[in-house]
Amino acid sequence: MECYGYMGKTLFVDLSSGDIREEPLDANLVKKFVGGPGIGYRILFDMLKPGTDPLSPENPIVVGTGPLLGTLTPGAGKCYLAMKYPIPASKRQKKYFVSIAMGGSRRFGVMLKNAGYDHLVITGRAEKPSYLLVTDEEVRICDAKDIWGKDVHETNNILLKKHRGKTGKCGTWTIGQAGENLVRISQATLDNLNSLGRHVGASLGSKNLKAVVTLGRKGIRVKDKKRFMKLYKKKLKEILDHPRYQPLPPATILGGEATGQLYERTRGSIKACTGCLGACRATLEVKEGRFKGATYQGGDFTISVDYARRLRIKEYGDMYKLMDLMNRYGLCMLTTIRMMYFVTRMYEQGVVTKEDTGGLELKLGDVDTYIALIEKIVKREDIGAVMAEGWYPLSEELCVDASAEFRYGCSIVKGVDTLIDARLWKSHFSPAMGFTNVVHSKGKHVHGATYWPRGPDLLKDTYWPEMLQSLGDIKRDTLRMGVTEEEMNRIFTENSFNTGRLAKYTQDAEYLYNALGLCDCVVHWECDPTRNVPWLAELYTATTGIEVEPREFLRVGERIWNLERLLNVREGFTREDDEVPAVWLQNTEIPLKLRSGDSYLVDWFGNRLTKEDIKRMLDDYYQERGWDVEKGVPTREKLIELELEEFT
Amino acid sequence: MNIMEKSNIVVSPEKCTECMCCQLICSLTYTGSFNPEEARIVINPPEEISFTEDCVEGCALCTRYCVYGAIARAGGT
Repeated sequence: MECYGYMGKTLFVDLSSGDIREEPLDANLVKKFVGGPGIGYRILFDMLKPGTDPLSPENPIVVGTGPLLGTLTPGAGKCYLAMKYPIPASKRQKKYFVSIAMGGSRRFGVMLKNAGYDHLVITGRAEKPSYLLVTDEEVRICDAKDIWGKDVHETNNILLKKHRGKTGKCGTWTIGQAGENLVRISQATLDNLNSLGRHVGASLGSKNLKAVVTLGRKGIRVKDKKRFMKLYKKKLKEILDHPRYQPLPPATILGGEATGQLYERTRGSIKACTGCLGACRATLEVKEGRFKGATYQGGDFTISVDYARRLRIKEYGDMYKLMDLMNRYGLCMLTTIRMMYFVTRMYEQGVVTKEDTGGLELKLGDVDTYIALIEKIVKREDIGAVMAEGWYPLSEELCVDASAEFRYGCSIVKGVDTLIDARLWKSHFSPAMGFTNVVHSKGKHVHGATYWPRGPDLLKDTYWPEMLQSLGDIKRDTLRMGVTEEEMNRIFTENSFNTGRLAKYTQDAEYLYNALGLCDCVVHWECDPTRNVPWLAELYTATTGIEVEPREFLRVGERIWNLERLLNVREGFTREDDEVPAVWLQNTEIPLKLRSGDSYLVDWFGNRLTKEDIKRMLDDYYQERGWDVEKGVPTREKLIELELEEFT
Repeated sequence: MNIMEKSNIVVSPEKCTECMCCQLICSLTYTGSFNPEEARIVINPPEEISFTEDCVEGCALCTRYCVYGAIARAGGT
């Protein structure tokens, strides 16, 4: 098929046999699933046998792009990963979820496409440590002896020197020592900066795969350049003229004057993903003291403040050092920090002993404690070996359920600690955040125009007042998703909305954006003008030449969400696994003591929730999805309606 | 071989976020597709932003697509 936006090929690499082959992209798949995780899941459906051990050679890793990635489209720099994750996902039985990750790339995605491929499927296990080179001239499984054992930054630097492009860097996707050692809470890092999969490093490690390198010059073609540029320029102007637009994250939104000044003083370069107009990846450098020169590259500055508060780290340099260390080893920072806090508290209570820690005394605020503990996790030593297995094995070992330990545990869904703890950020049992954490295949969050921090009455409690949205904003954004009037009437009343029902549409839109290769928080200091399904439909047509109607486009997202559910139903997941974290349920009655006062679990409007309210939200959600409300499983009628008959 | 400077463009590599918008618009305009490796601008920050020898004299198209100020028209126009 003539390809525009798409490259038209999927690459299959079997690391066991060394077999490398490519297949043309199926036009019917494109029509149904557009790209990205939609096609990734379709590939997985055939290749992944239910019950497969996620760390076995038989577990396929599918990584790739969407049709807008690598075009100028603002925010179209996200690669996807679809696979069965190695995180133990149930307290009751041995099972693992199938899910996706979206990771921002600068070169990896655009170079994968320029090498000639939309998707890359990796199976098997290499005999010895290897990395995969994918270019427009060759695809080769290379010896990784020079990089195995090295950290993420070192590995990246070696690969960049070795496979230098003519006009810039190659793309890289790498693991650190944590992934090599099959630490299940390890990540894989894209272009040395973003995570593509918080808990997938061990899967690459289990395949003896240290990295994937991409480089090429095939060229991503656009069907109607004139129309594309017209649409692009109009949107660009809209973004640049927006009163809240700022290309770099401003210090003022980062949580107070003192931290704002620290950010200004310690920040180095800031990086963006391909085509992004709102760069968000800061490099932070320790300017003085014991760790002078240590440099943390990656996420936004705010998280360093959050992490330091949690671990009671007083010196910013100590916190940057810990973050740098986790990045280099390739550990998921979010999980590791929370787990180290939990284990320290358990140590204080005598649940964890010096014998468990190999003689290490665990003390909040002590950077050396945490340097040592991080190394124990990476090397799988003492208590670190248990932490490396994930939250449920750790809870089982300690006989303390971290997901139900109100003071020291955290919100865990399907074995993954959710990004946002709805107890802390008051408004976050909202459609796109707390609620979606519960019903997603993993404890994922969504943002973008579906993010919606709560309205003006609680300005003082919010980190980022610039992002606050009103109910009117939410209605506008929901309409921009292509939701029909009938659906709008089911979701909204004059002064309120139904959390469960609205969540369904935010998720569908999110998966459409993902399928296209779009970030879900583009230009996040404002109202995300690219989160506009009618505009995206037009841009997609200009790019690919494929005509699509907005409502049908949104349905693609719904189709992907349903396919994901089917993949997980096959693995034994049902509504029972969409378990609201016990700590949140407790918080309907027990207040969490915050500096600002007692905090209870509330909905978007600030109304306190009861357990019955939450159950009703879930019922509404499954009903709006057209699923079996009791089981949380897509019905045959729904699958037929979505043209997914082959999966009934 | 790269041309290190262009008289009509001021470069500030330290401001470059590697968003690649310059390479994308350049390659689309001069090669007909989004193809950063065929762009006439070379991006290796923080050390280098330079131009290839086939970069069109007088062209400053890329500066119009850099929102970060890493490449700008000389004289600020």
